[in-house]
Amino acid sequence: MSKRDLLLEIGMEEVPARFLPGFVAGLREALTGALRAARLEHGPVKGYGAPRRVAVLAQGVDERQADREVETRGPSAAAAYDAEGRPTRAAGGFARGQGVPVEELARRGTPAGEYVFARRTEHGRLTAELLPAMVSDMLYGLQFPRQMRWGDCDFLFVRPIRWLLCMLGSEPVRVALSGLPADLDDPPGHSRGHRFLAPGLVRVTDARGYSEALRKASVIVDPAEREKLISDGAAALAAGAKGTIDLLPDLLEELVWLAEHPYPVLGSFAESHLELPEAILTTSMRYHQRFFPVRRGAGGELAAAFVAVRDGGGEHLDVVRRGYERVLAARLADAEFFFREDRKRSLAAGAAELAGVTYHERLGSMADKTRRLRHLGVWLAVQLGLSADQAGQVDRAAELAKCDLVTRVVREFPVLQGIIGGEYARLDREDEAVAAAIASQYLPADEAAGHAGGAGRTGGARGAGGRNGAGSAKVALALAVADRADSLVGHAFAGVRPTGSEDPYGMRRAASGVVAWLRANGCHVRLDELADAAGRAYREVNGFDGEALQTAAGEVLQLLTFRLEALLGEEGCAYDEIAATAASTGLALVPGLWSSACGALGQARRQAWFADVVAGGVRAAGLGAGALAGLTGPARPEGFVAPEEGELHRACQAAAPELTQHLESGRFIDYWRRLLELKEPLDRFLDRVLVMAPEEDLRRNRLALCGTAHDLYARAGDLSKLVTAPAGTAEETRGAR
Amino acid sequence: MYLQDLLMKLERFWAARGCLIWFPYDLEKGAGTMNPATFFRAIGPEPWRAAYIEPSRRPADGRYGENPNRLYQHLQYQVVLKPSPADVQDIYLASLVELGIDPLAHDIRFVEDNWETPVLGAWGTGWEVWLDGQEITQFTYFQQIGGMDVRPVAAEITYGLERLAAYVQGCDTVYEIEWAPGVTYGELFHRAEYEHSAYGFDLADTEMLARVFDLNEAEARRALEAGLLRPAYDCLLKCSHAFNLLDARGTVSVAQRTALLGRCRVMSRACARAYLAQREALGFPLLGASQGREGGDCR
Repeated sequence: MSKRDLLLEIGMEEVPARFLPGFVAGLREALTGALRAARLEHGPVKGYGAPRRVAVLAQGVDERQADREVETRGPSAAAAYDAEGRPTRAAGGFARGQGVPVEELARRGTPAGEYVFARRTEHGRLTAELLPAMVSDMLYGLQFPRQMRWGDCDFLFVRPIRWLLCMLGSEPVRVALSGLPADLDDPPGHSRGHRFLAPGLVRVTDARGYSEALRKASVIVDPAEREKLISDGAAALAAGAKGTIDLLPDLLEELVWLAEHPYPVLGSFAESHLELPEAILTTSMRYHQRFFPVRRGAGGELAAAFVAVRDGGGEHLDVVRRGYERVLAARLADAEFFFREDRKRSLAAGAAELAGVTYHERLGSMADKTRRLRHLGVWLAVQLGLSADQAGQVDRAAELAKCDLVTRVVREFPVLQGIIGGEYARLDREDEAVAAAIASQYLPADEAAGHAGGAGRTGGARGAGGRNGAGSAKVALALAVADRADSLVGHAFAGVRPTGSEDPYGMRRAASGVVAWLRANGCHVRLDELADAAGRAYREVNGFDGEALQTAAGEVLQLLTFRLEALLGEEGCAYDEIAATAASTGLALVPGLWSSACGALGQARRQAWFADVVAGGVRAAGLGAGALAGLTGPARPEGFVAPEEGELHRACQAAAPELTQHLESGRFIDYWRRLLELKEPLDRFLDRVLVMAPEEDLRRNRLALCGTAHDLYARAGDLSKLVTAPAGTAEETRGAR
Repeated sequence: MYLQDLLMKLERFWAARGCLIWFPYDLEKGAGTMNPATFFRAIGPEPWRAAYIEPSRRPADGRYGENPNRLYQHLQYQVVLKPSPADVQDIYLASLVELGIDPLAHDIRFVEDNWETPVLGAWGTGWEVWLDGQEITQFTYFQQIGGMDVRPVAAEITYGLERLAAYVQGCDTVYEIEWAPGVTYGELFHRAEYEHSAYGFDLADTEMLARVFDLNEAEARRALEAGLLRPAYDCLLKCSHAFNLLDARGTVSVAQRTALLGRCRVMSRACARAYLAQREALGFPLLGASQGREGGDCR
């Protein structure tokens, strides 16, 4: 079968940079799917895109569909043939409809009875004939987070479509979309060049030559190539100025999609602006102007320079550079105005205004939130075993945490909330631990390490720990966890719940944050107690109803547990290991313990000896889980009748302190190995003694003994939840040790 | 090129493209969109093309005359084209060339910026146009006004006159712009900038403003009940400006903000709906008009 390359380009007015990567991928998938549905074989499919266009090129596409045999079911045999076996009118009509002679109809039994079937060869259609409908379906099928209409067209798309180009090999294929002008692919076989460098039509002579044809018209259609042009060019410019570039990945990505012909340009600003906090400078450059900041040497101080990326060529660079510099100067003058206004008073002085800032209409003001954070912060300081000094720092950090919400800089640059608070706290000579905690309160746990005790940079110096090391990090942790726990319980109380795809208040992210913060620092804070403590703060500060708060705390606990389980899953724990961990009797909802127990379980189950532990765990769980839930109390040795009862009881008593010790020091493997010794007494007891004895006393006592054994077995995870090969068949695998 | 020449060039340019050369509306407002020539005329099926200058007041943007670019009041040159023509971007770029801005000598971008004015129950999709990193124009395809879909879609082009003039004249601050020979923008507006900033940030009587809001809201309702939608709309504009001043004073909490904006939105929706009903009753008189309409194919 002969093959041809297939090209589709959609020409538009400038598409938002943030949508383009997904758009290119989406179009590529849509074409692959459409080709599959049309039974057209093809070679590699590559997506292209730039601000004014998205394109896809499939190499070696079948020129036509393969022929195929099609069988169609007709009337039932009873209706198709009369008593003499002659075809009826129904059979004749069906055969005519299918285009086959009536005598070629076949009879065959089906689960629904006997029917007649027509078989015929369906001749494959030319790809060129199929394309218009395929393209139309693909474009209608694309979805964007925000769509629009234009002119008087009846079509929703991300931005107005201004041309279409579809080529099969060297032949243009006419395509049209209902609701859009009919001449979008006029003249056939043409794209459009760079808006300014090569305005107008560009002839594309064959599909495969697409990117070269556009290159001649000053459009680099391959985003990877544009990325390289930008990153290499920017690095060279910075090096020329004896500096390095902060090649912020998300900015780089955005710039790739903001230019059809990127051209990096070096510019500078007045040295005097370097007195502004670095976060303000980098934010002005990055968010307002899309400029890369330049540093003196790798990771060094900011230089008074930037690299911008022009969409154009190397002509008239001085004019363009002067324009960039003038705009940035105005931006920085603005930032300086805000900064000076803010610094007319201390950060703490803003606290008075927090009462006027609503946190959530049902949850009071930011002043209320601040009071709750202080309650919860103090509670967390105790849980984390902080010194009195550190507890004081947590309290101070909580007191100041929200003060930057009433600063001019944060009103202007919302992305700087927290970071500016930390910056101003440093300028006010608050303790470094306090400033660092304020700065890192909204950050994900893994990014916060650099801020606790750091030099107060956004994204800069990542020297973890800082002067006050671990203590300082725990102060930051207390605030970060308190802030999120407070939001979670509050929003649950206010009736906000994340649903399938909707989570407007970011509750899932907050829950993940709590879990990650508590885990990353290996501290023993129980999630259930945390949720309750957050609820208590609402009762004390807002006077909310205790019962409703308890319900809210319960919901939050569920969300937290779920996020913790999800996190373990993302890290590669098997679902049954997670389920076992979640049903443990001794991990007490401490995220750090869950993580290490679950990880250890994954290792242990690959060992041969572990099968016996699991077998014991499963047997103990059978009767013991119910007994634990039934609260029978401990077994009474004086009630034992059979020797096996005493034997198991003694074995449990002997094992308990050692097991506890192993668990407390996180030696999970040792813990499970020790359980091996319980297997025999447990087996003998269960094999020889009738637990469900008719005498109530005897039965209760034996169930209680089962409960004790189950508790010991399930402290680091209920092993009966593991979905494994039956006991004894587990093989020792290499590399597990 | 003096600012007044720039203005005249724009007027001639857009008049030649079928726009009615219109004039500013004589009430304080935050944007040229609030001129009835855009707000009302974008509603309904009738074609419309107009261009006009509009002084726009945004109290929170005041900088006491200390910032080179940010102003309490800035001048917008507003163009509204309904339905939006297929070559609207090219026409716009041609207008820049008319002002002496050669795209090849600069870096011109269309950067995503979706516009929304909650007070008007309005939103659209579009871009800010950047000239060497400076935002000089807001370009919007109206999708909704007064909570109603805009069909056909109108394109709104809003030039920032000071920024354009500063660029064309090579000024580092807007105050150096020459309006006409021997008269600078600073001479005309610098003191006003200071006074309005000082008033908006430091002096404005918030209780008075809250009362102004309440009174005008009530009056808008009364006017609307009597079927007088234009006076009602004037009251809405007064509410909107009172709100902007309150906001600049920093005394509006998040919840209060939402509530006040919600009240404005109720008024703007009512005005928009009343306008549509009124035009419909008149049989949409401009529907047959040649203005702004070429051919039957959708664009």
